[in-house]
Amino acid sequence: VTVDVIFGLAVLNLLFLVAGTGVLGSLRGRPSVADLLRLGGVAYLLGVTVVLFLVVLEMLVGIPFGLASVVVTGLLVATVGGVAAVVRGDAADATCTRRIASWGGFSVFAAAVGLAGLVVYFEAAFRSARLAGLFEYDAMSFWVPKAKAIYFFGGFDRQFFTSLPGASYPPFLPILEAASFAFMRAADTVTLHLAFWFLLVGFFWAIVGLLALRVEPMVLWPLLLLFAVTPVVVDRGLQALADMFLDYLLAVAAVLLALWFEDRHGWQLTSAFILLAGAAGVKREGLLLVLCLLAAAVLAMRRRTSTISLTVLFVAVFVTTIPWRIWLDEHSVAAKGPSAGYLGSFGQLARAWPSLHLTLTVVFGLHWWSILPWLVPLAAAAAILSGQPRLALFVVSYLVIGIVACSWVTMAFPEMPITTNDALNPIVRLSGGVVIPLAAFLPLLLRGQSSHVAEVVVPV
Amino acid sequence: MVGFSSAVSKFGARATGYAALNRDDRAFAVGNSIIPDKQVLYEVRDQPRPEAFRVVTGPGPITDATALTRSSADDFARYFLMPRRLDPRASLVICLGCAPSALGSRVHRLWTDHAGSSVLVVGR
Repeated sequence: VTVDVIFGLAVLNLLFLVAGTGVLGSLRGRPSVADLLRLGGVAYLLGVTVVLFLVVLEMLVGIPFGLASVVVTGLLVATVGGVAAVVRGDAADATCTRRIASWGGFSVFAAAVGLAGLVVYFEAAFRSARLAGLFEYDAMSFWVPKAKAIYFFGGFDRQFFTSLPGASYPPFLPILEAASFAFMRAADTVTLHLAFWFLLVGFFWAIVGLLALRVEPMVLWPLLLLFAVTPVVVDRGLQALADMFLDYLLAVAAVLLALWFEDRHGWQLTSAFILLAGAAGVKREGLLLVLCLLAAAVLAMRRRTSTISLTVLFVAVFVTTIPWRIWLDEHSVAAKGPSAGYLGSFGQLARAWPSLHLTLTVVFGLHWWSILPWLVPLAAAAAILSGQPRLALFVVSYLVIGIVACSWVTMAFPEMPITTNDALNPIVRLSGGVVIPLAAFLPLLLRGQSSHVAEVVVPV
Repeated sequence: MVGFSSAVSKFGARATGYAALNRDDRAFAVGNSIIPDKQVLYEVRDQPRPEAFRVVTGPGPITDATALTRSSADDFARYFLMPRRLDPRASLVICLGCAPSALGSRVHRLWTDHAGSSVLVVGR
């Protein structure tokens, strides 16, 4: 690992941030410096998603992948977005009134301690990631070989992409990894782990940016640190796999949807759409989790206009997956679905309870997600008492629908044993798609619980 | 607080562990539990032309073989040796416990560790 290689990776992630700032500006208006600092994490994840999506399209129409294609795409997105932001004007009028509890000087203290804690955490994670070998079997078996094939051969090499295990998996992660190789100027599978460190930092930045002005620091920072130290995040957050990448996109989109319920600002819904499209482009189950999230949102909103908007959003997310499906079809790669069939799994009713029990064990077993999922029902009850019944319904609906969906996956593959062994059943990885968005919701559910509540105007 | 301290310690311990590995072990990572003798892949990688290769496994004895050696050696070799391609008809062969005589009459041995791992060239 050399400084040059790390520098290359940092430049790539800076490019994502710059491109995403353009995207966010085009949706929301020209940002102030404070906006840039606050919403930089959201911009970064938007940049990752939009650049990867465009690079996929370029490769599908035959434009070779390389350093130049990623740089030009990123700069083009940044420029077009920047011009659109200037035309749109300042975003300074995007404010709303919020009920924020006052904890006095404790708030500043909590924010300072929380921020310092995260800095220490990320420093330790960085040291761990920068020398990590590729120990994950799936990463060695197909994710990284796909990335190497893109890097070495400049496209979706037919031989590799049709013969590797997981041939039908969406291409966002291999392209992210291939872009990392291109910027590192080497297929360095050790330093590659730092790409996942950047995603982890971007995710925390996004959540803090969206919630910091709406949730009291005494609530926000302890919950963020609790999430950071859950066993799954510590053990798997830096693995060169697609699961956490998918979960981050889903969780930030979920928070944006929750904020859209309150504020009705178009940029929140559009940004959620982009990130959900990203989730569907990372893994096949991304589309399933997007459907679960939007179904929960429809249940909670129960408004005709919202139902229509959310249905259109799901259709739009599905449409973004079509180019890759066309490529699979053209190259005779079967888009592998459940072995029992999508409806045939209902003939596997004998597996229904064991599958559900397995999911409940993973979600509520302290071994994987600590006490986070246990806090959700309590926080939902607190949210109802503090006048946020719709948000509580949204979150609880997602918990229930998500658990059913994870159980259906185990049910739909009869050959999959009922076990938490990662090599045999993906339930632990899959559960992140349910628990990580819930963890992002927790601060919103628990805000405004102090007896000293003030109404203040905050930017959105 | 306990969870935070434990998480940071875990990252620290992992960083120390990875730093203690040599460059080869770090590059091989999961391959250490698949390929019994790393040299067999280095020999293929160092062949002058970017030639395709195949992996042939057999029931012969392989020193330090693991449960994954025969089932996953081709996956790991494909990952590790890219941009070389894995091709079932390639003349360059990574032989793990295989019988060279079963590959044809014109088999040239490029390298062997005399412990079950060899690199062969099969003539056509």
